[in-house]
Amino acid sequence: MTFRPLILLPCLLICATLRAEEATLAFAEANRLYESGDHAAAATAYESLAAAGHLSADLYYNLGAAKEKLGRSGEAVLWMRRAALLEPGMPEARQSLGHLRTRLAFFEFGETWLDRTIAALPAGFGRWASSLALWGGLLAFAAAFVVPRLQPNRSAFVTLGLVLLMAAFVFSRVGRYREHRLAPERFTIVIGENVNAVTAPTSDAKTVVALPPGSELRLLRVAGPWTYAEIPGDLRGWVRTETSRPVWPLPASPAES
Amino acid sequence: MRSFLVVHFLLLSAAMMPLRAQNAASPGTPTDDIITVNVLRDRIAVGEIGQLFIKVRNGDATMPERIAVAGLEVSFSGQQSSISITGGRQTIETTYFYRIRGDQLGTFTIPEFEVRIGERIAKTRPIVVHITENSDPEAALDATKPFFGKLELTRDTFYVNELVPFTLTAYVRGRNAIHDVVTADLDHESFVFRAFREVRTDGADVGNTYYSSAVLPSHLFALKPGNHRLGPGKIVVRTLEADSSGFGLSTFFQRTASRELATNTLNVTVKPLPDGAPVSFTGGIGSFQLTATPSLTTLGVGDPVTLDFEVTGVGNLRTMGAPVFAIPQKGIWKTYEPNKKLNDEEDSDGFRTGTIRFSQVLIPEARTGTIPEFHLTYFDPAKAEYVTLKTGPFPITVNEAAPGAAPTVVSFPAGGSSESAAKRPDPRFDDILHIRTGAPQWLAEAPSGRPGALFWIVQALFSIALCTVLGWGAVRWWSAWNESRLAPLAEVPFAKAMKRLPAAGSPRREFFHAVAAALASWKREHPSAPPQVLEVVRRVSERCDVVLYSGQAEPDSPVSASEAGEFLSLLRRLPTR
Repeated sequence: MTFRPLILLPCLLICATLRAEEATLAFAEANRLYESGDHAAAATAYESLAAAGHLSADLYYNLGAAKEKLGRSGEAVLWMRRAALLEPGMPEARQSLGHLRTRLAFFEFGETWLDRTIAALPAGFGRWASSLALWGGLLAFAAAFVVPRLQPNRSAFVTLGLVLLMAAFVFSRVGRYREHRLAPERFTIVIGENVNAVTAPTSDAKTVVALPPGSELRLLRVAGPWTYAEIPGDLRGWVRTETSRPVWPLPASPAES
Repeated sequence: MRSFLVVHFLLLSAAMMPLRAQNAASPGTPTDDIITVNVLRDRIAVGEIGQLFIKVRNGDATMPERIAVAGLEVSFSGQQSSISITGGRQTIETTYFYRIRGDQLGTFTIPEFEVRIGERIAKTRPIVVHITENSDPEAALDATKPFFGKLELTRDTFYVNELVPFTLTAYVRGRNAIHDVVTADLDHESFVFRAFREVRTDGADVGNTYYSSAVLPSHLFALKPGNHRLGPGKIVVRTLEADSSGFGLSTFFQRTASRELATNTLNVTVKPLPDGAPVSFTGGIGSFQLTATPSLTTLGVGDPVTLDFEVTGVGNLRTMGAPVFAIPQKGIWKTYEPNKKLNDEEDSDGFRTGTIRFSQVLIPEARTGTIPEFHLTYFDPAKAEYVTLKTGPFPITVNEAAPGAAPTVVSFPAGGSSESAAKRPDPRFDDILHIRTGAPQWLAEAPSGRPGALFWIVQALFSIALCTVLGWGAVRWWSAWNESRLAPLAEVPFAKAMKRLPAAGSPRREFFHAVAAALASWKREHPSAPPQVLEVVRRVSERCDVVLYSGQAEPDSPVSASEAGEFLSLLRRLPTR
């Protein structure tokens, strides 16, 4: 019984290596299809790899490029954003999105310097920083009142504890802001053509604004076939759920992907 | 204003005969009637000037400056005297001229009024005057008149705000009879008239009589729909009058006289604009073309870009507003009040093409790739429909604003242009980049903010540390509480009290409390100690009391090593049993 994990570990490593090699071969084959001009087949091959759970900025970017060649610009924007998510600052994704932005005139949320700063922090920064500051503050308070040798410096420890508790509060708010406003899970991309945001989740509702493919939406609520979303420009509206896709995570079903 | 101030004075040696005052009864009065009154024409067109003259024979009369008649303006304009001798009988006749003008249609009566002639009182007769409408321009061409005005419009039915050219023309009998045009005026509360800026002099035959003419072209547009009567307009001209002295030097001694000419009236119909105007209709009426140019193609979020529109065409440019976004761009593009520039020289007069320019300052509030389409709708009166002009969208690159960049100040210069932002590279590419063909970097998992095992391990360690500190403090507090609870029951011997003395660096309160306790134990164990020793113990106890109870020293400050050593040596030197 005790030797079983030791036996399983190399097996898992070998399986993972074989799986990566297979994926690399499939990726190369898809690239060949793309370069031969068979963009539809290339897109299908890339999508199969993505649906199989392979994560790679290269794969996602190439899939976005194939979608663009097929004239599905909204999906191209979606996959390129996913590529930029796995590889922040990816030059190819940034430049191609710039071109699509000019051509499609899609909507994007404006970012302030604070948004950029918070988005640049590690994903778990808020949780880690707030917990560490909270523990530090509590320990400072405990030491100030419990340890006799620290009693002469009790005021300093109490001050330190207060500062750390306040820092814990600020970090928790930063984490919450990042999670609710900046996390990729909150964004969806319009992939359909001639999509309109409307004032109510009904077919006869009035149009709020026309959404070019590739437009960013911030997800607020999903109500069946309708999604209530925030639209760049301090607008809100309802869009058909099937006309947009979340940036992250990938849908569990390959068909949805 | 027409005035006659020709007075002939003749000196006669004959004595003035007594005059007999008599009321005038009819226009054809006998020669011995001293006062007669009549009008040149009893039918006067609206706005035109008629003439009333009162003749007084053989006497000087005091005439009123104005004759009050409701609906008519009757004012004194001059007088003329003449002397005639018929059959040896001398007659002096003075004619007083009055100007009549009516602005309302109807029949009016100039009532009789009394006139003082010398010592006598004479009475005029009532005169009836008809003010008629003169809406036919051709009727103004009356060759019997020495001068008249004429109002002509290019059409008598048009839309609200539609630009309609018109002319005011002054006619004066004779060649080169018009010296210059002093003023011209046409007013109506429901119309806007462009000022008269041009005079074209010409001539024409009217009823076999040659008239000099001065044409004043202009244009108007209506503010309200409905049927309106335009006119009469008023033209004041200076006419050349030949010298009547009879010396044959008329060429050198020409005089000018100011004449006020009233024009005919015109009935026009102003139609309202049809319903269903698009949102982008901004008031233009006519036929126009639209072009637009952005001042920048690359800018940052928050930087201003100016979109310069140029609208050219024939029609009313003054009522036209700037083009608007085809789709509202709230939150994406911030707009300011557009700057409008229309020079008089470039304005359309209804025939000539005009140009108006708008400068629209836009500020992107979000990253976007285009300035969206703008629409401008105008009403074409020829087609009787709204026409929408479109321009854009304009490709543009909006980058993120530089961190810490100074806020943009938007200025609105008179010319409507705005300073561009700092120069930025302007990359141009028309396609996405090629795929990546190298070996892909496979990731085990996507970055996620969910907490891992390490997070929970760290939380556990901190929990243990906190619990340890708090537990240790609780145990210590418990033992101290127990000690304080049991201390009154057990008397601590001096030797044990000495062992409990804190070391240097401990709080002063704690240290001196222990010292006082030790001294108390020593006194309890040595009731018969020598007085000198007791005195020393008393003084040391007093020092402890000062520290503990006086409030002067810092009770929680650490006791210094020298002070602790001093007290310890004193306590150790105390004699013990």
